[in-house]
Amino acid sequence: MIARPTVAATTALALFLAPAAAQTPEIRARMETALVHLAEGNEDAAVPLLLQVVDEAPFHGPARLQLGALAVTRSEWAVAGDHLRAALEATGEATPAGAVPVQRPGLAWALLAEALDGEGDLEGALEATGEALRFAPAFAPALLRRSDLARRLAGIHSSDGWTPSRIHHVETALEAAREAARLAPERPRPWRALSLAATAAQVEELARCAARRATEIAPADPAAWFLLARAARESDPEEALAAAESALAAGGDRDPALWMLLGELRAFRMDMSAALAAYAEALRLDPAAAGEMASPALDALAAGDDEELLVLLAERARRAAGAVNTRFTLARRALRLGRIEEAAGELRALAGIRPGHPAILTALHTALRRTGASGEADRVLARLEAVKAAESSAWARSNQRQQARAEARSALDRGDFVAAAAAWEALSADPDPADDPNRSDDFARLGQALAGLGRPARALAAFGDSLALRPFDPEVLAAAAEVAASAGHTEAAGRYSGRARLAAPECAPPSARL
Amino acid sequence: MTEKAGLRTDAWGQGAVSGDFDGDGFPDLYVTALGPNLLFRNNGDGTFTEIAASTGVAGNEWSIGAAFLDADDDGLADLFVANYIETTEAQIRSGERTRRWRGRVLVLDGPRGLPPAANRFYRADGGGGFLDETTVAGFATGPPRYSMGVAALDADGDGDPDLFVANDSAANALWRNDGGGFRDVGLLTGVALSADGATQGSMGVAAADADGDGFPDLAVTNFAHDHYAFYRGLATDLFLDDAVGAGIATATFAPLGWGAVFFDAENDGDLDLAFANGHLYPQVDEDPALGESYAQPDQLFLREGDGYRAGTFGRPERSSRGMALLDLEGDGDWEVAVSNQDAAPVLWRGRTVAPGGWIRFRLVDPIGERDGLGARVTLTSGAARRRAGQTSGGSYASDSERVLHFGLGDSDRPVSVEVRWRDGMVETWPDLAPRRTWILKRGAPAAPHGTLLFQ
Repeated sequence: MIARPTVAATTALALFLAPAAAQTPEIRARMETALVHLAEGNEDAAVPLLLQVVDEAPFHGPARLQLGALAVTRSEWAVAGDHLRAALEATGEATPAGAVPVQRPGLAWALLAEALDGEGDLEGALEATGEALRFAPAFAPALLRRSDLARRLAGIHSSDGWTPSRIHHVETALEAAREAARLAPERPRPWRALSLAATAAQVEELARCAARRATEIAPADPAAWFLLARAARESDPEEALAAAESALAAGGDRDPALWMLLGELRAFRMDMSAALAAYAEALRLDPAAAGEMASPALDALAAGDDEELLVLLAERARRAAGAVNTRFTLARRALRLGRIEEAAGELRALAGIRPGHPAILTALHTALRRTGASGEADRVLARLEAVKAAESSAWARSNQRQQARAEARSALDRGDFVAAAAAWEALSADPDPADDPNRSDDFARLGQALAGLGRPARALAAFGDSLALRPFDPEVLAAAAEVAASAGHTEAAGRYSGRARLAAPECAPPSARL
Repeated sequence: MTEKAGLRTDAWGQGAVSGDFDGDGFPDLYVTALGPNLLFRNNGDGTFTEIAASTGVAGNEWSIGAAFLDADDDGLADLFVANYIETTEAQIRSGERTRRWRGRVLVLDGPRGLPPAANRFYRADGGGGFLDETTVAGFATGPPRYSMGVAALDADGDGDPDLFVANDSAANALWRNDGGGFRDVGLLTGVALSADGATQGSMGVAAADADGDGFPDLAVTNFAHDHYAFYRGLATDLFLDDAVGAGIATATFAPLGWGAVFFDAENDGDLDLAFANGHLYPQVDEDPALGESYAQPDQLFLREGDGYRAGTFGRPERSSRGMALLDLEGDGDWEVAVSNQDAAPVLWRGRTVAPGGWIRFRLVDPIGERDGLGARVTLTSGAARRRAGQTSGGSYASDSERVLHFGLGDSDRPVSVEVRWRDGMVETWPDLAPRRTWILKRGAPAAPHGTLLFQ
């Protein structure tokens, strides 16, 4: 929350500096009285005066700012938004006639960000804090507020892949979090925000580094430990497990996501009993966690003697038709326990939702054969056969691509750019949905090979294709920047290197603002 | 003794199965290998002669599991051989580690991406040799898979032997025998995939009617980081992977399994389950984060109710592969023999804690296949009836003592036993005393072991 005295002082400054033509003596008098009331904490007396001012001068920025700030303190987000937008409108380059600008637009933007965040307009809030940053880069409260937004924005799961808007937001989040960490490196929140933004940017090393900073600053903060655990789970599962256990010890035991992560990390260490205990806890705290659980684990939990869990799962299955994992687990349990008709009915419904799911088809086929519905069972079997045949073909194709990839990599390593470029080009030109995780790397290596052949334009195109899939890959960004610079594309080089700096794995506060 | 017995070989041996292929009453030995396999004919005097090439069963693949069976009820032992990858010793030795196991240590890639080798079915020709009838018998339908363990069992209860083949990284096969010709009904019957509809890295198999409901059950070992399968027989030709319900899923997620046997470890009348475990990649020892080790404990799952309670045999822990059963001491409890990678074998000595009774049967069929392969034995002890089949192969690249063993719990009363021979003929022997091994020879009175053996 932006502090009230700051707002009042700013308004007083605005009154002093405002052009006389823009304010009648009456308006000025009302404003001064209102400010006195505000300084005394008598808001009820101040508000009617301020409202009178904006009735007479709708674009009186200082009055609008005061009203907006008051509305923010009262969580009247829509009212606050209206006043603050008007205040900012009075402050821009094309201001309406008679407008009185606010002197601290950064503050107005920061307040507007808070209002928008309160309304649930996360992206709008982020943009507003971006503006606050632009006007007042050293305004720490706003930046910290922004880092919080960045954290939340970075947490938004996007199923649309990397759209330009998402790239922009994650970039902004990274920038804001980096700046917040530079300004307040002694506080954990900017580092947590940076870790989250880096996670959203898929820059694991940065996410891990920032989270580690946060744990160093705030060792009793479970959120910091959780972030470290999550960031390190791929590259260092041991550190991740230790961090997750620390998060638990620090009081994170009410967080289902932490229990899920613990389950995953314990399973990676092959400690299956402990993993199941963690998964069970996650389910108890949030039955929706079943949707993210590997079905053997969920199956094992459903097969145990924990009646409480079964009730939770049954309740979730009853309420959420889309909870396929939960419903499937319970259907399979029914099948195992010999409740065949119940199992067949539910599995039939699930096969309608997921017609190509081999586990559902396998169980449905068994259930149907047990009920004697042989015709339907045969049809399900045919579907299952088709699914498995497609799976085999995909595997074969994937193997071929892996082999081609290995040969291309080897050509690149020995400096045979012609062979490497040809191989990567062939791989890149023939994309395979099952092979998506490798495509970004394919394009990047094609770019490397083309750069090696002295074809910067085509190399940059390949790097661009790679970055469309992984926009924050620091190595690709650096390579693209280098090629762009050498080809004289200064602007592109600057853009790439700017993003590369944001995504750089190092998390020491930068010496200069990015 | 190996040298004197004529069993020494330079072959890169993989596994072995015994069978009296020539019906002379002496068990012969078929050894699978990388390259030509070996058939050691028992000369009856403690020595063997290698005759694989001359009898037509040498092949030249990378063979793992094998099983004898009388597929066509002609009284002769036919032979099925499970083959893995088309490769050579030189290719294996020069293989580069290009894949990261669980994203960490570098290991050899495969089997996916490598050419699978076709399995072989050798039908006995009646003249002491075999004919490669892989295609004629139907085994060439569908592409080859990476086959490992194989068990002959009567999966559909029609009296003839079917074949379960554990495949690595591919759907398992259940070859149903329809009058000597076979077709794969793995997917149809529910044994091809895990409960998750996934192909697993299957290695070995144990087959028996573990829950006594009249339908065979299958326990299949799999690669690490995936649970073993427990295909519970629900009805004729219908199985359900119930590893979770059987209580083996959680405890088998970590290890990498090979050999597998059902046996009554406690002589309490139900079938327990054991697995030989050991990682394929020695490199896992280099990375503690994996939580894995090359040497792993062999597991013993004791039956409790409708499922199993997990446990281990104890130390030493080695990287085990094959597992087989025998009563080495002749005291009525099983010893479990385990072969290990780059280490001496281990013999787990049976020490039945409960004073359970037991009875064992060795079958002799002078009309059909000599060892009575495919025969079904039904034991009646008081009100209880239990069944077991005379099979071959099973486990991983291993073969157990060809004896049918029944634990009798706390009963010491005589039992009655019925044998349905491979050709459908049924014989009954009543009032057999427990705590001994009986020779059940078709058309002859039961005789205690030691008096009729090899006649």
